[in-house]
Amino acid sequence: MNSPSAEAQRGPPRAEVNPPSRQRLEHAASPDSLASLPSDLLTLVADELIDDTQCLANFAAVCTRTLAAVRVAQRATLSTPQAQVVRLIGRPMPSVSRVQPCGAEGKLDVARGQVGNKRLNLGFLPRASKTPVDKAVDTVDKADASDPQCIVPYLQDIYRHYREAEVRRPACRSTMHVHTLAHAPTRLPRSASTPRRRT
Amino acid sequence: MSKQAEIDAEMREVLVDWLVEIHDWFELMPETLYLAVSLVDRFLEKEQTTRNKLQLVGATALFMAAKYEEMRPLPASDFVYISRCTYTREAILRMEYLMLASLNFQLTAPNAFVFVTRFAKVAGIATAPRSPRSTTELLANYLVELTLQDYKMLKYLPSTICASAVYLALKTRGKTPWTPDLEKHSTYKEADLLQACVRDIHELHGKASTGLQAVHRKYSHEKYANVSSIAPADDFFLSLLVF
Repeated sequence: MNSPSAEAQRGPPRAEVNPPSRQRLEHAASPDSLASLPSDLLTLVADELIDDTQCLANFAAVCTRTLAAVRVAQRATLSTPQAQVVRLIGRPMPSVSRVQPCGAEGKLDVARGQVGNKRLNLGFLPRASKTPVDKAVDTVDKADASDPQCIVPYLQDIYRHYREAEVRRPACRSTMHVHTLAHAPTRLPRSASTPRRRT
Repeated sequence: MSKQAEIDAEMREVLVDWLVEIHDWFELMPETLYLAVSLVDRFLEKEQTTRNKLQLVGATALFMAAKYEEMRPLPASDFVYISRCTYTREAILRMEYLMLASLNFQLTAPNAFVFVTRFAKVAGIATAPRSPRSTTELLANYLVELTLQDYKMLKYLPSTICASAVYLALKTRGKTPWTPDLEKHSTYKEADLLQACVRDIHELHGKASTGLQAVHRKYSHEKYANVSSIAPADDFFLSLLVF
């Protein structure tokens, strides 16, 4: 016989979760139904199915199928802007399926600077040609073209920006009235005893 | 600066002269001086300042410019020292805050130094980094630095001043003053734009050894190949310039 104290120790009654049958799980396999559920709820369901191996396997299969369906939906969503880009630039962009996982095992190689557990395979993209850059380099900057610190490809842009900025923001171009000083300027004569900071 | 009630062009000259002296004293980068003068001008353009605060504005501008440009910026205590304790560290920091707020934190502005470096390179008078600079390049730098002090030179754009200084330096050294490359990179034509500015710089060069002489003294050192002793191109020669 259960005493009230023993019931209190058990805590509040848990909600009974009936194990889902295979048909019910397959019916719920549409992306809209299962993918929209919170992950906590899915974990709770999996906890309840832990004793029934067959049901747990069914549930895992349904989850995997749902995930795949969601990815298909995402790819379909991506195809619309991709088509717009193709219209704009006149050549196709690489499809998502051409993105290859990194390495043979798909493992993260931190030493090679990979971010995440995948690395974009950009080998199929056309290589940037150096010919236009060489043409843009002026004869004045030819000697520095090999020095990356001289940022030769951007020099023209930088000085163009300077020229625009100096016109846009002049320091002060107004005329100032000039009059003689009433007092002699209080200049600071250099003290011979003061050492220089750097030698 | 026309809105300034207590400050005039002569006071600005004195301030810039002092800045040049202090800048040379601390052996700072040339960019720091140009930025400091630009900060002073842009601040005075916006805010009214009293005469006794002008030196504080200059010291704070150099303090800010050093923080912006130098690898080892000077501490505020150095500026307290160079102002002979006229201003406290707190006053400098307060002025820094005021200037930054007034300039809306827009510290960068194209100054003459970036252009003179470029035009000297285009003119073929710039030498490789870490090698002694050529006399003509130093002379061009000297001429540009002379213009920092003179308020009336603010009516010219920094690029115009630099093109004119390079032109005059080449002319003074007896070289071809204007090449198609210079015209292409500076976008200034010899005939159109340089006439008035070249004459003004030539005039400044002529009277550099009189009055405030910080720039003249600075460029009389061996380090600067004593270019301040180079005589300006004579007037007769200048009058023959075909603009």
